[in-house]
Formats: sequence, C-alpha cells, structure tokens
Amino acid sequence: MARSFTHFLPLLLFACFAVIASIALVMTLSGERKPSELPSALIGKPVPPTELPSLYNPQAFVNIEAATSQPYLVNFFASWCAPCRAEAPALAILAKEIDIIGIAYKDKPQDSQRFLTDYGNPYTAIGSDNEGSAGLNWGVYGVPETYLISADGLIIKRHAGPIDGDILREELLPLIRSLQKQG
Amino acid sequence: MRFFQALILVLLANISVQTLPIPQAFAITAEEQLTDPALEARARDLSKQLRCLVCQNQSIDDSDADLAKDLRAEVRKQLLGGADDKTILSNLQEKYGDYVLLNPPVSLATIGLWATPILGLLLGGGLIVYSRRRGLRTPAPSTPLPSASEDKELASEKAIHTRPIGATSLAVTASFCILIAGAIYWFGLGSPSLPSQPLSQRASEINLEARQAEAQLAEKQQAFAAAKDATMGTPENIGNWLELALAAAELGRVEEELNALRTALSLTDEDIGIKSMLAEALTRSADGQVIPEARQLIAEILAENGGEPRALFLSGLAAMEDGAYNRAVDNWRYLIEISPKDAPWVGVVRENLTEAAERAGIALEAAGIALEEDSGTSPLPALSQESLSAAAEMSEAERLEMIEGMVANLRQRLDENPKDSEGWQRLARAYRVLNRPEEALEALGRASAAALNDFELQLAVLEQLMMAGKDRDTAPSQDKAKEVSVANIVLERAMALNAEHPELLFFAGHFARRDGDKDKARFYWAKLLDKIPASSETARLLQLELDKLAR
Repeated sequence: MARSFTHFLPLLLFACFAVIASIALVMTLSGERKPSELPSALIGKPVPPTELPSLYNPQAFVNIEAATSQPYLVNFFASWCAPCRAEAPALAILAKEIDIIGIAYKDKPQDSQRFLTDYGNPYTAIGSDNEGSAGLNWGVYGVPETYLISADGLIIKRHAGPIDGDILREELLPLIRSLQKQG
Repeated sequence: MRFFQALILVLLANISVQTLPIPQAFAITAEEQLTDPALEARARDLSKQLRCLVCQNQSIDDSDADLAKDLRAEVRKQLLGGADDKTILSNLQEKYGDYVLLNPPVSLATIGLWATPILGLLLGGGLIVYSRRRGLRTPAPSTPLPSASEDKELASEKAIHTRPIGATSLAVTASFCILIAGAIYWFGLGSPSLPSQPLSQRASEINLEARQAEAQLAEKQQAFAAAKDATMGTPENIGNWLELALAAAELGRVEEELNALRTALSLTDEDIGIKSMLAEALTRSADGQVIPEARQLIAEILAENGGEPRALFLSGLAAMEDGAYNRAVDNWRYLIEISPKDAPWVGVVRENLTEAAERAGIALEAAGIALEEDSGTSPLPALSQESLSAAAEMSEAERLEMIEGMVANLRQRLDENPKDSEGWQRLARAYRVLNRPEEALEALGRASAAALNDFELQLAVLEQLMMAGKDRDTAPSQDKAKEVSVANIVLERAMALNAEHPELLFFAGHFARRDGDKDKARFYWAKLLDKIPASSETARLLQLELDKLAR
C-alpha cells in the first residue's frame, strides 16, 4: 500500500494542479472569472469625502457626503471614453430607479457638456474632476466606473467598465432594489 | 483611438514638414521631477514598488499610462507634504488595495503565495528521503521480473542496492541544477532591484529631451506671435490668417486656430480649401469626433467639389462613427482612387479602409481593390496573396480579366454548393462591381433562397438589392421591375420571420416606393416611425420622406 502511494503521489499532485488549472481556465473562458478585474479596496467603507465644482455652474460645488436619505450611484465618465457612450442607455434606465451623481473625469467641461447633450444626461448632479484627483481618492483606474452607495454612505459595489444589459439586470438592479427596500 | 491617430497623421503630413517630436523613451518626464535630488530619488524608489493598475505588470515608474502618471504625481505630492515612505505606500494601499503594491504584504490572504516555495521544497525533500529509506529496506519488488530464475536474484539485488540510490542522486542533482539555474536567471535578469537604467544617465537624457522640447516650443511660440502680429498689421490678408491657424495648431491652441480659420473663411467667400481645414480643426477639437458643425461643412464642400480629399476623409470618419461602414468604405475607396499614388495620406486612408471594410464585412478583393500585403483573411480561396500583389501590378484590363476569372470560379463553386448564402452575396457584389446587374440580381435571389430561415441574411440581401438599385437609378423600367420583383420575394420571406423589425419595415417602404406604390410605402414607414424615438435624426428624415410621399 505504502509503495503504491509514493509511486502515485507525484501523479496525484499533478492531477490536483491540473484540476485547479482547468477550473480556472473554464471560468475565465466563460467570463465568470475576470483576472484583469481588480477588487476594490473601498467596498464596505465610507465614501471618500468629495467636493468638486459643478459641471454646469463652476461657482457651485457638488458634494458627496457620508450619509443621505437614500442609496445612490456615483458614475465616473468622460467624453473621450468610448465605453461611456456604450453605457449611456443603461444609465438612462438606471436614472429612473435611483439618483446618479456623475463625475466628469479628466475632461474639459465643454467636452463633457457636449457629450451629455449628444448622449443624454442621466445625472442628478455632475462634478467636474478635471485633474483626476477625486478619481485617485476613489481608486478609479479607468472610466467608466460606477459605485453603488447605501443610504448610510457605505460603498456597496463597484463596477469597472461599461454597464451592459446583463450587469444591469442581474447585478445592479437587484442590489439597488434590495437596498431601497431596506431604506 | 486609431482613427484619431490617423487623422493626426494626415494633419501632420498636410500642415508641415517639420520633424515629428522625438519619441518618448521613458515614462517619467522632466516636468514631473522634483528639484530636490534626495526627494526625487525617494520618489523613484517608491514608484518602482507601486503597480500600474492599468497595465498591471509594470510599475508606475515604467508605465506610460495616464493613471501611472497621476500616481507618480500623487507620490511626489505626498513626499513634498513630508510624508514618509511607509505612509505613502499605505495611503495608496488603502485606496487601491494590496494589488497596488508590487511586493504583496504577508497576510492571511497571501500566506499561501509566500509559503508555497518553502512547502514545495519541504515536500520534495521529504519525498526523496522517504523513498530512499524505503528503497533500502524493501527486500524485493513484489511484481516478478520477466526474466529467467537465475537472473531474478541478480536483478532484485541490483534493484535493492543501485536503483533507489541512482534515482535519488539523480533527483537531488536535478533539483540543485534547477535551483542554481533559477538563481542565476533571477540575479542576472529578473531581480527587481537591478537598475534598468542608471538614474544619472536617464536624468541627463530626460533633461536633454526637455531642453529640446523647450526649444521647439519657443520656436513655435515665436512663429505664433509673429503670425499674430502679421494679422494685426494687415487683417485683410488671408495668408496671414492661415499662417496663424497653422501656428496655433502646432501649439494645440484649438480655439485660436478655429477663430483664425473662420476669419480666413469669411475673407475668401467660402473657399472650400479653408472650409475643409476648418472642418478638420473642428473634428480635432472634439477629439476626433465629427461634430454636427463639421458635418455641415463637409456636406457643403462635397456638394461643391466631390473630390476634396480632406472632406472625403472626414466624411468617411463620420460614417464610421455612425456605424455606416459601407459608406465609409465608399468614401475612402474613392479618395484612394482619385489621390496621386504618392500622396502623403494614402497609407493612412488604406489602413482605415481596411478596418472599415473588415467591419462592413465586404470582400474588398472581390471588388478589385488590391489592398496591401496583409489584406487579412480572404473569403475567396482563389484570391491568394500572390494573385493579389499580382493584381496590383497589372493593367486595368488585365486586372478586370483576372477578377472575371475569379468570379467565374466562385460561381462554379456556388453552383456545386448552392446553400452558401453569403457566398451568393459576395458573388452579387462582385457582379455589381463588374457592372453586370442582371447577374447580380440573380445571385441575390439565390442568396435569399439559400437562407430561408435566417432573418439577418435576408436583411443583408435586401440592403444589397437597395444598393444595386442605387447603382443604376437611370436603368430602363423593365430592369427596375425585375429588381422590385426579386425584392418582393425576399421581403415576403423576411416578413414571415419577423414582420415587425424596423429595418425590414424600412426596406419594405423603400421598395414599395420604388414600385410606385406610394400608399404601401407610407403604410410601412408610418409603422416604422412609431417604432423609433421621435426625437432622433432618423425620425426627422423619415418624416420628411413621408411628407414627400403624401404630396
């Protein structure tokens, strides 16, 4: 018994490795596992305090505060970002369900305004983050990025990349509805 | 964005022969650096420990990504604020997670990562020791060896004394070799502490680059100031305004460029050359998007001179933006046809054309355009690389003959395998190019018949039928009747699959109008109008057409 065990141990180890590797491969191919997607360090933490000049009225400020009466979304976008155009319809749908605060990331205000004229404005308030400093505080590594904030000001979910139909239906909307029920 | 780059290239080729800026050799640029060398050295050191989250396998010190630049600036800002290295790293870790650190901290989540090599060594070593001991003690292998009985004893003796030891020493030697090779490799090439470039050398090169950039900038600013003075002196001189526009473009001052061009335009009674420059500048100011004002200008230019290269190029870009790839292909193909072979923009246009054609799914080859060597996957097996480059060298007549030959080949293959609907469509396209409308119509009929259950393909056939109709709007009426009758058959098939599809409704209206049946056309288009957003441009155009029909 002992003899056959040592004989087969390397094979067994290799088989374990092969099984783990194939599971990872299958999950990657099916899109379930996204190796390039980074976990957010901010999940479950309070929103980083953010104060930005308003896009349409630079004298006024858009504040993202710790607590509000209801959950909301924060969406980083830019006119130069093609996926932001792709997610415009999804944001329009979301806007009917929940407040969305837009942050124009590293974008000239006139370009952002033109973008919103062309693709629709789903936002309740828009801050202009020309320098990208708010983006740094939020841990943004590319636009578009969307954060779901609970009524007590905690970041519940972060989605990097455009929101497509699947993500909208299967991830965001259910989460939003359950948050709204709690609130 | 590739198209934007292409646009810039065309601009550079057009505007000036000035040397292109020296390519950036290093990620870090001169203006990022701190003046205090000690702080700067710390900044560089920290940058090497931080991961660029966009590239994911480069440090922010190496990366050219925008985010890396921001993070470098953030590190330096915190350094200037007096933070120590640990605080800076932990600040960033708080926002971006452990992932931002190239050296992951030892924690419960990463213990496996750190412990695996040690565990592997222990396990391997244990195995070797265990098997060696067991090998020495085991009297004989339990399975009989396939040898004669005298040899058997000898063989088992050998097995006891030599085999396990031989295997063990082999294993030990092998693992040492691997360890040593790994260590050599790591110290020689892999260690992150290796200096990729000595800092002083890099810094001096960066400084040199900065000085050159400064000199260039000063030169450009001088040119700009001179041009501005000139326009002040003689504001009615168009040349001065154009000069100013070019100087402003060089400096990236888009607003001033636009102003200068607008002034020049107003002085010249709508000169289309200047108009096209304005359209281009507008597009550039919108980061490569062809904005409505530019589109308006392009339409005006092309109405006046259908061969204005800049307008043609931009019109292709606009079509790409709208997803009208076929129109983009048409524009750019025409632009290449009318451009001199050595025009500076031909290469770029070709590249864009290839991309547009890929998206449109058109077999350009079948249309007789010999693209560059890398013409991609050719759908026609007869079109090999050689025949394509051969086609480029042939005279027009020879080329036509070759294409005819290839078309005949395709036709033959399709006759053998008539179920290939896409093949029939390709054939129809080729016939259209060869100006054989009858055969194109027939091929389209076959294409439709070959894909009775495929709605998308039926739509594609309808689109081709429409384009075939446009080719010969002046055709005699019996040809038109034939086109409409083919179209009606295809429409019926498509309706059976999905009668409410907006595109199909559009085609149904189009062919009804072509047939002279205005009521039917209005019926379909009114139905279509209900299905599209009322505020869209399409809806407006459709409404216009409907109004025309009502008259």
